[in-house]
Amino acid sequence: MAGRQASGANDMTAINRPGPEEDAQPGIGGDLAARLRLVARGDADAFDAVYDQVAASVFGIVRRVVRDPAQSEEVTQDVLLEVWRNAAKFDPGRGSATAWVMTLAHRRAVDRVRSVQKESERERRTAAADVPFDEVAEAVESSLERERVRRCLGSLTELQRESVTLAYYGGYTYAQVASLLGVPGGTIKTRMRDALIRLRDCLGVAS
Amino acid sequence: MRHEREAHTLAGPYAMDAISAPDRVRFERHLTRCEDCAREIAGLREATARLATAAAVSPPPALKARVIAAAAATRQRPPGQEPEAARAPPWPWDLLRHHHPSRAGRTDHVRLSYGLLSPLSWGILSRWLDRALMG
Repeated sequence: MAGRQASGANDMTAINRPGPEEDAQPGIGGDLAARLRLVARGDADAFDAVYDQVAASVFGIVRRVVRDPAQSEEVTQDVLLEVWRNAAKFDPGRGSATAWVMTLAHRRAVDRVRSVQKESERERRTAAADVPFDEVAEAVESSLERERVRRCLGSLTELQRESVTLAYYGGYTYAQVASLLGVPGGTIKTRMRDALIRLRDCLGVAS
Repeated sequence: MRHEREAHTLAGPYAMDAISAPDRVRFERHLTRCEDCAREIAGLREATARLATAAAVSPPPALKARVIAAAAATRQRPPGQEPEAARAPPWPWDLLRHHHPSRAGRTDHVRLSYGLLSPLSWGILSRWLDRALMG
C-alpha cells in the first residue's frame, strides 16, 4: 500500500484500476487514500503530494461559498491543516478520501459564512442567487469532469438544481433556500435529497 | 417514530451542510442508529464531493508554503482518540470525583448537595425503595 503512491507513473496505474476506493475518481486522481495513510504517520512528502492533489478543489469550493479571497485562503489553510492533523481519522470504510476532504472543506466554509452571516447576508444573497449552474467552476482543472457535473446538474429539475446550487455553492440552509425560492421547507428537503440521489447516479459514484 | 421519520428527511440538507446546528446534532444522533441512512449519506457525499472538485480553482502559489510550514509546526492527532466534547456527559457521581474547571462554581454546589445526599440519605432511600418494591 505504502509503496505505490507519490509518483506520476503510479498515478496512472491507480487511475486505470477500477475499485471501490476512490482511486479512479476523476478530477482529483491518484491514490489519495494511500497518501492519507502516510500523512497519518507524519510523512511530510506525502502531505506535500496531498496538497497538490486537493488544494485547488478545496480552495475552489471554499471560495465559491465564502467569496472573499483573503478569507477563502484562511479557510483553505485551516482545512488542509485539519487534513494533516486528522489524517488518522480517515476511515476508507466510510467513504472515499476525496469525499472526506471535500466534506471537511465545505463544512468549514459554511461554518465561516454562518459565523459572519449577519453583516454579509445582503451581498451574498444577491451574489449566490446570480450564479447560474453553467457557471460552475470558472477555472476548473479538468474540463471533462466539469462538463460531466454540468451535464448531470442539467438533468435535474429546475427546483432541484436551484436547491442544490443555493445550498451547496451558496452555503444556505434548506430553510433559507425555501424562503429564497418561496417553496415550503418540507418540499425543499425532499428535492435536495432527490437531487443528490440523481446526481450520484448520473455521476456514477459509488454509493 | 414520527421524530425518526422527520430526521430521515434531513438526509439531503445534511449532505450539503444546509442544516442548522441543532438539526445537525439531531441528525447525527439519528445516523448512529440508522445504518441505511449512514450508507445513504456516504453515497450522497460522493456526489457533493464532485460538485466541489468541479469548482476547483488554483489557490495563490504562496499558500502552499504557508500550509506546509503550519503543518510542520502542528502536532497530529493519534488515531481513535475522541475529542472531549464528544464524550457522553458525566454521571452524577463523576461530579463528585472530577472537578470540571469551566463549571467550578456549579460543581461545588452539586458536590455539596450530593455530599449531603450520601451516605445517610442513600440509606433512607434504599430502605424506602425496599419497602415500596416488596410491599
